[in-house]
Amino acid sequence: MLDTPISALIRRKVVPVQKETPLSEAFPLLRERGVRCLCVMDGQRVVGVFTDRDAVEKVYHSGISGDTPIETVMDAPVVTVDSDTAISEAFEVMDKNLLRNLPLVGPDGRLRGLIRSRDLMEYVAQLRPELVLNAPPEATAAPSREGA
Amino acid sequence: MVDQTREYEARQESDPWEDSDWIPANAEVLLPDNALKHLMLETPIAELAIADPPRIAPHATMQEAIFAMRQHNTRALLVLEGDDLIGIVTERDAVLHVEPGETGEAVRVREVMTPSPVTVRPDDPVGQAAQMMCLDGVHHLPVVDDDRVVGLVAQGRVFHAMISELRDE
Repeated sequence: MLDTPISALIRRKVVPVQKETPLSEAFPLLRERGVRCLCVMDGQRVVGVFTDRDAVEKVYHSGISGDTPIETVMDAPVVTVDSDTAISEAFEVMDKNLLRNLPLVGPDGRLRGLIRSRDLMEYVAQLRPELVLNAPPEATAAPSREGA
Repeated sequence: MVDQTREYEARQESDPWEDSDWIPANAEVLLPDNALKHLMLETPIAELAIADPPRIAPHATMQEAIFAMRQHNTRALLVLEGDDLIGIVTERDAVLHVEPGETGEAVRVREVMTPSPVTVRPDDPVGQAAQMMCLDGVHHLPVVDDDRVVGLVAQGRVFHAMISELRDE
């Protein structure tokens, strides 16, 4: 099962923003779309990501204004994998690079989706419920607050 | 402030976990490097937890919380009133309540924290923490023993443990 393409695990819509987007427009996307990661695009190409982490690390304390384009504070270069990559390999890429979010791109280089480490944890919980104690497969799909 | 910035930058340069989701750079990691290879998900969660998690008072401002998160290279702070764990505040709370261009000085931690966070006990297995993280959608679980905070476990450590388990099969 771990050789299944990672694209099978896409659970949520990816939220792309163009690199010129000002932070004052990007932050409402993080809030209203309920995501912790925006994919920063140069046209059709992913050039970076912007996460809650980047907000805390680079925005608040630095005097950067809401007019600042997101590319100034995005996390780049970005690690991506092909959407056909096996789940097991995506696991390793995320673990090796300490990533919580991994953008998926198609053979044409276009953004296909975003995988979160939580998506992989939920997949393992479904695949191997005995590893995750008391976790019936259907119980792992419950959505809830993306906080804490 | 200059010194703090310099210290931060120096840490970033030297820290292999830079931009890591996983653990604070100064965390006392309780596992030797190769131990995860033998980890079973029945392992007590205390073995994956950081021992002395960063904390903040409820009356502190989000500006102070944001500074503390950067200083400790962590994504979450435990909110304690005396010895009592009353909440957890994370970078998500900062994004939700502080506009870019603002510092967070007008927002109190108490106003935006998640009160009464879900906790685990030190002996709870890693698998149970994984389940709670998936079910509750949380990235951090305070480890509480007899009403006393003894640690904090981040999703990244649990994720790593799961991968290690699968890799060994």
